[in-house]
Amino acid sequence: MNWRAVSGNIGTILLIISPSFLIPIITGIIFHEEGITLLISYAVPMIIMILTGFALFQYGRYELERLRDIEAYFSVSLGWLIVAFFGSLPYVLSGTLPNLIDAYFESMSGFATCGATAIAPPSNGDYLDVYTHSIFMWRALTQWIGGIGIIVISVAILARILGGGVSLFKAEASMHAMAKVRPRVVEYARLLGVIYVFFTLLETLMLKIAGMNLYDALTHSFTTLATGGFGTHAKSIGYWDSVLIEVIVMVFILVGSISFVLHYRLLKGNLRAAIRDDELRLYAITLSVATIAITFNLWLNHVYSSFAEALRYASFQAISIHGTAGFTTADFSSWPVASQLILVILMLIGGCAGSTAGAIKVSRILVLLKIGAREIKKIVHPRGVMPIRIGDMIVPEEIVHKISAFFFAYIISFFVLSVMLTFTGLDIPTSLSAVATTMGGVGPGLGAVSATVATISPAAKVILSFSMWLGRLEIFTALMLFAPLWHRG
Amino acid sequence: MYAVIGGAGEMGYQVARILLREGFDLAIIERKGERIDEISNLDALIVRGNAASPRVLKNAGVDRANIYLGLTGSDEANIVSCAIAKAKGCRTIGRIESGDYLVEPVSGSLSRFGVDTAVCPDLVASRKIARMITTSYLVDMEIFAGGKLQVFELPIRDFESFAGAKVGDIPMPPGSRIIAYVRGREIFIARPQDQLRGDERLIIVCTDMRTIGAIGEVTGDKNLQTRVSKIMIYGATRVGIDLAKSMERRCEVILMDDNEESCRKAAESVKDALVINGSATDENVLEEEGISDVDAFIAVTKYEETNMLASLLAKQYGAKRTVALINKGAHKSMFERVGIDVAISPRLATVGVILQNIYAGTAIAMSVMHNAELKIAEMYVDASSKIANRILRKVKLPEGATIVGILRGDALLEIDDSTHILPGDRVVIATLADVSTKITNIFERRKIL
Repeated sequence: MNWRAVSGNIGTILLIISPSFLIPIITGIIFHEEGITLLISYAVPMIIMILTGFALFQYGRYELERLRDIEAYFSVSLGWLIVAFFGSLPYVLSGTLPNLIDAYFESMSGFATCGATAIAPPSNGDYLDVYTHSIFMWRALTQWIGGIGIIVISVAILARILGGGVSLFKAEASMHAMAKVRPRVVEYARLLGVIYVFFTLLETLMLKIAGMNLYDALTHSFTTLATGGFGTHAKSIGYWDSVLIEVIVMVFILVGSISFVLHYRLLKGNLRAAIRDDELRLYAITLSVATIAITFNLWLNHVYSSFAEALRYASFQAISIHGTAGFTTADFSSWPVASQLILVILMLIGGCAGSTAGAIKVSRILVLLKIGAREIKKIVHPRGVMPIRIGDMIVPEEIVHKISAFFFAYIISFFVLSVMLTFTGLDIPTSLSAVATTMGGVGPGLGAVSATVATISPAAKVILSFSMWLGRLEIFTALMLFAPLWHRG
Repeated sequence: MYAVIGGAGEMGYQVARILLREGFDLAIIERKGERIDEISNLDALIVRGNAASPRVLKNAGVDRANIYLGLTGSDEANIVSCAIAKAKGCRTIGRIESGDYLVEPVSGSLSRFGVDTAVCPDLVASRKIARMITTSYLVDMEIFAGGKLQVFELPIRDFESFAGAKVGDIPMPPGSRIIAYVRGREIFIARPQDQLRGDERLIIVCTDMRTIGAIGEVTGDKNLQTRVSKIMIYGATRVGIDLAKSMERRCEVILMDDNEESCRKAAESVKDALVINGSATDENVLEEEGISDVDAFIAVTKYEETNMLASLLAKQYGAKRTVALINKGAHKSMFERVGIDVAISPRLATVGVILQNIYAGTAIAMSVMHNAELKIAEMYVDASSKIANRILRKVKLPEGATIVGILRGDALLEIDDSTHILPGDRVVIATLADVSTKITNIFERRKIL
């Protein structure tokens, strides 16, 4: 392991992210918050982050060119943990979450674009009656940063080892000379970043027009595009009780949870790319089936008086959970069991590859379904040679194996972490849903973790923080943290 | 007409033979000494050397040639020699095997490199097989008059009722007629008084493919009408893959090959066809893939012995009809004698296509059947043709020629002795190879001077 290269890489990440502390400071100034608190809460962490980043960068800057794949994965894996640590400092220093475990959970939930919160809804009034505007801006911003980070990483790195990005990046790359892939990755990442910013501003504008104030519109846009789900009100999107706002948020959750490479093609006028995209088609199918099933379940159990109302709440919750945003307009932990189970399954599936959404991803589910169909066909034709196709592209067998392995690792992790949670005293629905929601980067779960994790034990919060990190980095990248244990040289 | 042929392989030799009979002056370029000895019976100037060499081409008289045919086994040599000949003012036709250069059976896509018409034997063969299968009758068939006339070759299966019968007495369904028959290695134009022995293969013209079932009834071929719903192709060669691709939308296609790597490549280029890694000479594989309900089994591996064995085995196991690819045109009759329904040689199939393109000026469509012994051409009747404005009875056709059909506008005429041939008609005419020049004469313009 080339430690200098790792150090240089992590230093670069810290330096890039550190200026973002300025945004909560500006927010605080606008909302006339106390200057000293602002300085302590944000300026101090920022300075520490810059100094640390600079030191790490200086230590490794001349080795950066020699960065190999293993060091890239290792630094992403470790870097995510370090960034989350710096991100947790404002919660502690501002007194929002004095306990570091709570603060770290909140920060990881932000950078992993999860949306589960350790902040308990105040008994008297709303969040912003008790907490500052600046800290909730910081909370939303961490998700926005995590969102763009994961797009860049999934396009630039994950596609190469995990196959999650296979349908987007490799397909495009193969059309060009393979020798030029490297510079194209940088170019791509920049373009996708521009698209991300564009959609954020567009949503802000629309939410503002729909009736939110600018602060709410901006923070919610940050967390919608990141499919994060942090809000500024205890009742999440339900606070506004506005169909228009719900529809806007639903649309932008969809935008955030489908491939950004597809957005890029769409913006270039390639409509056929979207129509012929197999992953998008399956996403549409699972989403509509889930919505219809939940709608009928709610309607027939008289949870809502009219069919239209059942459809309104079912569709919002289904899109928000499937797209792994985790905004809510209703407390689905009190819904009939069938609806709850469907939502937990959606938490496991997640959005499309190459988006900000988490979990297993629709493209992998698609490949897994095709593997299943192929095995059945193989019984009839034992000597058949049947490559797996996504659209017009053949999925290489190597990637097929990686996807199977990923699925296996995801399910194993899901069960191991759930069992660990039950040891902390949580019941089965809570444990299973908490792991599904954190690994998938969704947010709300069932039972004790439906609105906030504030009441669960510190051990459980540590497990869930780990779960968020593991899921966000698609397990294998995260596990690269342990690479030094077996990798020498 | 003066033509230069580069390469005297099977294809070059067959084209040369036909062109000589058509009265062409010919030069042939060949590299190998032993091959030169084999073709020395041809009445042509034979030049030894590399066809892509400007000096050799000059010795062959390319400067005064009208047409150059690049038919060597090397694509590059064909392209280069065509380019040189083109520069000397020849019309050029080139044989191009590689998929890197050519993706269609016949194409002008290489014309800017000097190849006016590029022909790919593998694709010509695969399209020919596909056409035979999709019209679902699996007989060697040629189409004329924009599809209104089909000419095909059928073996007599009902030996008993044909033995001793006269051609004129055979109860052919309306719209169909026997135009020629093949006995042993010889081909004859059918006259009503000819007596058949019962072991011939008949060359039949019909105007409506729906009557083919009825024709099959007459010749004793019960499977002729079967609609094709499942085919099995053995050999993931270029022919096999191209055939699978053109058939997979229309019926169930199984593509089989022994080699795993070839299978993988094939599986990547086909869409709905099922690729099987196995040998069609292995009974277990054949049964596993349901050979008994296969309508057509097509063996297109590189090795013709394997093709023969696999086809015969498939037939044994219940494949309704079998097609085998052969490398040597001369083996066609041997394959068909042992029970393979159709044997196709890509090179021979290409000879027809090449001739069509040579005659592009005078004939609209043209084809050769039965080892190029029978030539069928669709000729245009010009106002100044000798045949124009004649009554059919008065047209003196030479022995060994017969009119297959006459097309006026888009309509096919009911022909009898009193039919009037008008300028603008298209006449489809079948002739034995050795009299075909005489036919060209009657369509030629009357010399004014």
